[in-house]
Amino acid sequence: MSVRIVRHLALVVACGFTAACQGVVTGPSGSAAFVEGAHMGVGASDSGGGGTGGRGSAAGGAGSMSASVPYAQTRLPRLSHRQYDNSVRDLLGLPQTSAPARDFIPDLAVSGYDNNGDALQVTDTLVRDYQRSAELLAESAVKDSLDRLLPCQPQGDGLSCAAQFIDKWGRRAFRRPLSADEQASYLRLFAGAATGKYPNGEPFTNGVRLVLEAILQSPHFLYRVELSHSNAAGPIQLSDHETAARLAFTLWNSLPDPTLDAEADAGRLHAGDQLRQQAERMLGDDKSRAMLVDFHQQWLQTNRYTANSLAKSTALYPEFTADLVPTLQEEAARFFAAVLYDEQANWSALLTAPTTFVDAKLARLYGLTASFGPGLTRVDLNPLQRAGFLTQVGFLAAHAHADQSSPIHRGVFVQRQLLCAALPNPPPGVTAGAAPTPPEAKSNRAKVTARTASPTCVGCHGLINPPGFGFEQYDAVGAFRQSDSGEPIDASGQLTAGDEVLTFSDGVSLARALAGSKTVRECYVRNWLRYGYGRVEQSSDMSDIQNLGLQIATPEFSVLNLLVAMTQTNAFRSRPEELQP
Amino acid sequence: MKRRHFLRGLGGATLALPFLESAWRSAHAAPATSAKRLVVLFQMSGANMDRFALSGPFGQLEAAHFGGDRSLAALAPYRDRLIVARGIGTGPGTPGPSTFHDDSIAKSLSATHRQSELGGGITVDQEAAKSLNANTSRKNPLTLACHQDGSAYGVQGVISYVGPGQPIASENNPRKALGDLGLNSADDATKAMAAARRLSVIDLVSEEAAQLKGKGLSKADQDKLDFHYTTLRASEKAASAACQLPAGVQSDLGRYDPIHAGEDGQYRLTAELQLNIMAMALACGVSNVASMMWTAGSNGPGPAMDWDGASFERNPHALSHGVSGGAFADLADPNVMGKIASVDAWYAKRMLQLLDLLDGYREADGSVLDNSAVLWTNEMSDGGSHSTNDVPMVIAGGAGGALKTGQYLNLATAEPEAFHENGAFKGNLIAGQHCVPQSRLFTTLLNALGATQNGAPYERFGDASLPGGEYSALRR
Repeated sequence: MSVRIVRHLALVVACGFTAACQGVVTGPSGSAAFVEGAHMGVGASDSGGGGTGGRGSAAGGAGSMSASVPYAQTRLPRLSHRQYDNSVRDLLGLPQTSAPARDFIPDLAVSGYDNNGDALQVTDTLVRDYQRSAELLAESAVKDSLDRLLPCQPQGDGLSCAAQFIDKWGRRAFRRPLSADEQASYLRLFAGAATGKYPNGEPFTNGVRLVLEAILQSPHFLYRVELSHSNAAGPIQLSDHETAARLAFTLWNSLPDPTLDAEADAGRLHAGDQLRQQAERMLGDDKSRAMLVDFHQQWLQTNRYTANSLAKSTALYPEFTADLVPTLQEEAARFFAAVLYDEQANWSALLTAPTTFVDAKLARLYGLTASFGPGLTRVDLNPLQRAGFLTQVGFLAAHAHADQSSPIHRGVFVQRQLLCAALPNPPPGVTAGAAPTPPEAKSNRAKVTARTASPTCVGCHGLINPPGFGFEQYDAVGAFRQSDSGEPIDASGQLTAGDEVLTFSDGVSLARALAGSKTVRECYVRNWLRYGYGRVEQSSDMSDIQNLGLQIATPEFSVLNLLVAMTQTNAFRSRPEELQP
Repeated sequence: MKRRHFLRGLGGATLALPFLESAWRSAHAAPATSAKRLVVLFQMSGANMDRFALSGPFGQLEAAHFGGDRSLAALAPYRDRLIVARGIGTGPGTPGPSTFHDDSIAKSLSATHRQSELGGGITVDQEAAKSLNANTSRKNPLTLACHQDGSAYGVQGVISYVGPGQPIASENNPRKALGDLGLNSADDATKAMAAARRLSVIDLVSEEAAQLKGKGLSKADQDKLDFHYTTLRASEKAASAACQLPAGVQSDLGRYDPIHAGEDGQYRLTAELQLNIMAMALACGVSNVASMMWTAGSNGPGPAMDWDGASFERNPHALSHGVSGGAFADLADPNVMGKIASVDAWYAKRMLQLLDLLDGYREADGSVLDNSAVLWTNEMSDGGSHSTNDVPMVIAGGAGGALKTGQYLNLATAEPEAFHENGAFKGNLIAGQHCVPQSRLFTTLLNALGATQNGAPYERFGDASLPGGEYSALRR
């Protein structure tokens, strides 16, 4: 048998301290990723120490969110690896498949996302990655596409054309016009390439190559520099160029295009309606589609599906093999893109749309009898059995054991990712604390209930188990089942979400109830802010979260509308007042 | 003990040592004393402390200490050059009955509290690099890993920090790790040209960074820029051209498959490759500090051990919580602790491999191992109870004669110190005594290796609430 479960197995029998899960909610600072705060003797009200994020919180100590500890937002967030890839692709006109940062040392996900500006550091390894990448990109650019990059034909010593190139290309890379000093520096670098820098090549070509190498390692390219300042108290308005960069890196994960550059140069990004027009225009580009998919992959953790996390009992599920892993990742990505981007649906379609993408192999797990080819095809699923992401095979199989469903893994996911609950990690010694399974407990639900019934367990499992039981109609590989171990399935329950009580009878009704919940809506917005703004949300963001959460309750208000609205907040258009330098 | 003069090949074959000495000397003008090195090997999810304990009294290490079913049995040949230190806790001072993986991983090498989602302070490897790497091409230590990309696992995917909330990721791809050493086989003229070209780029972008720093940035932002661009400049210091991996290792690199990194089939190969690269980098002076994060923490995709005689269906984290079978089938596996001991023994053999490699590199005053301190530690002691009391601390190499090796040491004290203990105190030799903090061990190692702070030996390391000073029992 080749079963390997490598995830958080302790959850199987996790019995928390009763106190640890009392009041687990999402105060203004609730940060699902900093779940251990609740066990650190820190009160639930400030258990989201992650809310202060990175170095900004260093002065404040764990979990503090009070106004006395203002958030020192970095003025130089480094490009994420995805942003780097997209930027060099746009700058150099490279094919979509080009992704040099795929070989970079990976960035750490902070509060769930890999683009947190406070955590993105440049280290020895990354310095070499950047250097190697700049050198390779420059080399192939002058070989393959020099004519396309140049705005002119070089004459004589080529200095005049080089100056035009630096002016134009450097401006795009830096997201602002270069100063006269900067132009002079890069022109000197260009001229210096003529001797002793490259073993062969024309002086002009080598000069351009050296300029490319430098710009791709410049702080003005690698960091989103925000230098605007103000002598007045309060938030500092960003300049037009800084606004353009925020807009592009948020909506595209890339740098501005020439149209946006022109708007910034003309000073036309100050007014809200100008910003809105640009945001709406930009959302029509496929780069936004990719961004939207990336967000949902990180939030719903479909990027974490691996052969290990999806290993199933070969005896019970011989058809569930490792080659399904990329299919399941792709299934989720296609679903996010089709429903939320192509069809511009309201966010709730994520949790309600009875549709997905299958190939021949995956179709069998959904119980589909029609014949399918090797590629993924859009299908409508039985709406009595399936509703959105939480009832799709990928989620259900990834949050299950090798041989049985796992209400605990599924319930924890719902609590943390959809309700933004600061659920603590399981305490140590859980095996010892778990009750033995009584012989009369046949179904998985009965076993889990029995094993987590003790007073020390119910504190957390009272929150975890109900949403987990809602998915008991789906087995270890996400297939729909009518019975479990010979017993009829009870997938009904009640779930408390903030001040709402969600009642459900099965997975479909649970998913629909979650889609109608204010708590889940605000959690969705909260996650978008973390990703879109590249930082952990602050108490000052709460009014935006509540406001946007209310707006997405309107069925006509699509996720794309939400993205536009996210660019209209004061938080997006300004940065907090500077602290002591 | 008898020194090994051959590297052990991956398939058990012996490989001739790459002869480094003359090239090493010419590249470094024969320093009177060789560089001092620090290595940290970091295991996750605790150990079987009953089997980790040696079978013999505290005092001088004898062959009998490693007998029978001891997890450290593989290290017996190195007993004269080992210190097995017991009684060190790695809290520090977390209130409550237990600590969790996020905390234990963040605290282990920094001896600080977490102040945010990430770690609370600089770790000992980064601190050591400030002194020991001053003349190398790396500002940071060489930070390697064997796990699948741990980046999605946040605080549990990193062990090294340059400051509070400033994580340093580890490289898990041996091919990239090798490429990053900056070894270059080009001829001198080509290398000189590349150096001139890079220098002209570095000069320009560093000047840009310097000007940016003057624009009223916060201290944190200034530090970030500084770190980036001084690191870039340091990368241009020439690495020894004599560095070369043994041919067998070189060809094994070809078998490495990054797509399946961290999975069972790749983990063992990755470990062998990374240890070879690490040893070579230390021997060639590319970096004098290195760390290895074997896997990410409890949520990470660490492998189940399915090789070298072990065949477990669960990874060490699951084992540590007594879970070894299917959903509820065999929760209470009676042999789960035996399996954990097998995991520990496997990592002891990895330690052995590294010691063999380091000892194979000879320099003017002994081997690279003689001039190193190699620390093998763990995020926890007993994983099931998340205990950070009496955490495994195995130190090898004499730090150039500054460490008193050949000892099985008990540092625990009869009376509690100010240091705060957590949970049950496991370990069959020192029950009933009290832990001492890792901060003083790190101070000891830093000073033994000749690292300095403001030109003087370290007085302390880590959280201000922890006691300063060294553990004199480790020093000659």
